[in-house]
Amino acid sequence: MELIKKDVKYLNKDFGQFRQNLINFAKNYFPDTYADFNETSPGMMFIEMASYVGDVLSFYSDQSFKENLLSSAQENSSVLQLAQLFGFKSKLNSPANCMVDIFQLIPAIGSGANAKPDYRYALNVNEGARLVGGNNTLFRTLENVDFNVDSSNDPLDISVYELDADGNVQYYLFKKQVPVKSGEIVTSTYSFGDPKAYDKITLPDTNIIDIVSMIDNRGNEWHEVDYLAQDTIFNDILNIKFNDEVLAEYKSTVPYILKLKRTPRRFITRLRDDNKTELVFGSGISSDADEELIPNPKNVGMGLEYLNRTTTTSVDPTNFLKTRTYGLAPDNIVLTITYTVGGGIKDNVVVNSINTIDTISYNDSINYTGVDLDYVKSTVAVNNPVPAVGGLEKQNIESLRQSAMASFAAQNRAITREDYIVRCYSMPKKFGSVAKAYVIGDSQQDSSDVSYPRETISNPMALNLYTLAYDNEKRFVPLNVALRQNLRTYLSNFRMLTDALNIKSAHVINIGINFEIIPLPRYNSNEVLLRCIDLLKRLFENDSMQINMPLNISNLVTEVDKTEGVQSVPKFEIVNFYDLTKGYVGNLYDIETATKNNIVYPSLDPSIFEIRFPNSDIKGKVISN
Amino acid sequence: MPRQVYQYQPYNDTPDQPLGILLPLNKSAGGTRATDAAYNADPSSGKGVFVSSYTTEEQSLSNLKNLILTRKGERYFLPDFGTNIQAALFENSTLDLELQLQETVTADIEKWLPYIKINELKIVRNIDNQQIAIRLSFSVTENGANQEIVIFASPDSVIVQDGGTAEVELQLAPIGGGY
Repeated sequence: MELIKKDVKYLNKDFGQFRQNLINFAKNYFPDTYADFNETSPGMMFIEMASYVGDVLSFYSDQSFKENLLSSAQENSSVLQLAQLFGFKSKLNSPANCMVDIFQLIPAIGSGANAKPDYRYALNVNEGARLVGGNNTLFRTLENVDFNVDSSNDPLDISVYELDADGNVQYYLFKKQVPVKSGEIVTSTYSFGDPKAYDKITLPDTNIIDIVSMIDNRGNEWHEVDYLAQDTIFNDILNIKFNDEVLAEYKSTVPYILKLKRTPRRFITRLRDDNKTELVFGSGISSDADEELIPNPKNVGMGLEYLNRTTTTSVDPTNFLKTRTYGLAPDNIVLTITYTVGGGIKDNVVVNSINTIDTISYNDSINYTGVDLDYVKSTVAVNNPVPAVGGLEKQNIESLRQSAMASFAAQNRAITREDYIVRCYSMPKKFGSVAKAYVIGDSQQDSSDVSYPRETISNPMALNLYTLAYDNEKRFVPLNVALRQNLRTYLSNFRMLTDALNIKSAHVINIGINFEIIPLPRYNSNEVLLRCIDLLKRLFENDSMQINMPLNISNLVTEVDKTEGVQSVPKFEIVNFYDLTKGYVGNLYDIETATKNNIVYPSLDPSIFEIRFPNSDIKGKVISN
Repeated sequence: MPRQVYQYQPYNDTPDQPLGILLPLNKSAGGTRATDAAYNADPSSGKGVFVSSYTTEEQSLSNLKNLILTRKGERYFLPDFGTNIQAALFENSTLDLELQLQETVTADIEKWLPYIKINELKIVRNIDNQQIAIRLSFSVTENGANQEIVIFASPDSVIVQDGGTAEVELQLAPIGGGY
């Protein structure tokens, strides 16, 4: 029997619309069967029941669609899973961070004017020292503290601590700074039997900050990765001669060498909606390292049934053998997991409150021949000169949503020039520090141009990264070999495959300032002049300068003019210093030609202006009107 | 805005066309449990679960039962639909409770079934057993025959019976205690 085509409305959304459309449907198609549409009639009861079901189904279809979009999801579990899908790792409480002063006493060697610290007593404190702050909040140090090292990135402050009866120095006080993070360390062990693909364990705590380490009973270290297909992690090795004879020369400024390490023993962490953290392992069962597998025409798709290279079956490049690329599954081992718990706003302790050492350890592998370190170890003390900040409660849904969107946009890759610059500055300090970074597109000379100078054409596939570091006087110097290598390794993890990056040094142009002021009546001329010089020193601090930053003389004059006691600034000139014998860099720069409309422009090749000796290169004169 | 009332064939112009569905469902099987035979019966045989009504009087009796057996707040999106008969069992047993109940039931019927004319509504209470019996005589339209239903309400259930007046009198008497 042929069915009559009926007009079914698909636009119903709620109970009222479903009910009305069902009434209309009954009136249209069953006029001789049903006619009582009073609310009291049993037939209407059934129509309303159907409307109720339609309303509920409509709600759930809307709801499930809404919960699939990060921008509109409302359920905590949906936002959490979508955030994880976007590659964002949600955290519960955030720990507080702080810089802590760490002190030790060093005995003096020699006497009188020849007295100096006996560096044989300088300690090397391992990272992970447990410190106690206000509210009994636990903190741990994040970096080693080597009292032997003194650099602009890791300065050592030395002061006289104690004199003997004859006025000779008995002890020096060494002070360094070390970053600390709040949180209590917890250790758990988990036994695994026969391997299971994508085995998982759930840690019992609900306020886990991060996983510190995971070591199995065979001594292998397991590493946390962002996703299981990621098979490389950053690994740091001490910059000592044993590890690298050449780079060890720069160990004072670059204490660690950064390496990328492939590891089959890896895991990911997932936050569940009950606030517990789940650790998920890979699926491999072989103990062979994954890097030995090299794709070739014979093994690609080996694990795929019926695959031959003429078919269009998709092949995952990260798992071309369908075997073990997602890391190893734990196989009859016992894992010892160390993680931190805690965090939250209460961890933001006030100034001068982190001053108790709970546990501390020292790197005793360094040769301390002939000295007894017991006493100096007992003198180690800590204090926080600034309050701890950054402690936050668990992210709420809205904050998690926004963070996930931001993370998705960034993709943890360096795309724009700002990405590269920020990445340069965010390299951990122990690998050395880049003071200035600047990125421009690469260009090359047009070989078809026969004129001189040749036209340049841009090279869209390459970027030039101009960098500078500080020396121990905080002056600009090129990156040393070790720092350059670490930067290259570090950036390689964020670099896009097709980006070529040339790490270069920016030119440094040493300048000085000669200026004249007319002070206001009844002001002390010398005081006014000193104020102006102090202002210019602040404005030209190397931290404030940037590669390729022009100098706006008008603005500078205005700033000087605004100084208390200054009536006017009749003269303000910028001069170039380039005498190598006097300690300048030696770059000659024609300031006069480079000045247009009272703005001094930097050179075409990226350069930075520097007042190398602020105490002598800023010269001011008071003239009377 | 006045409530729109769906009312078809109040005067039975086309008595051969069904109006709605009768209560209880499965009325043809005696109003008890539906059997497989009832579910599988040909609708035109009049023996299915859903038995059609052919007159307004017949249908309005089912509609009245449906209204009375629904508690206020029970109906989805119609919170005012129904009566307060069962709720009255749990009210304070004051003298004017019967009057209040009479007023509300009358008002509810007038609102949801405006074409029903109430001729008499009598309430009898058995306070010790927390029971209320209501005898409602009504007619559909001025010209309709007089019909009666009896409602037995207890904390466990509300039962509505229709039938001959004599039978209703017998059932109501023991509860009312001297009605």
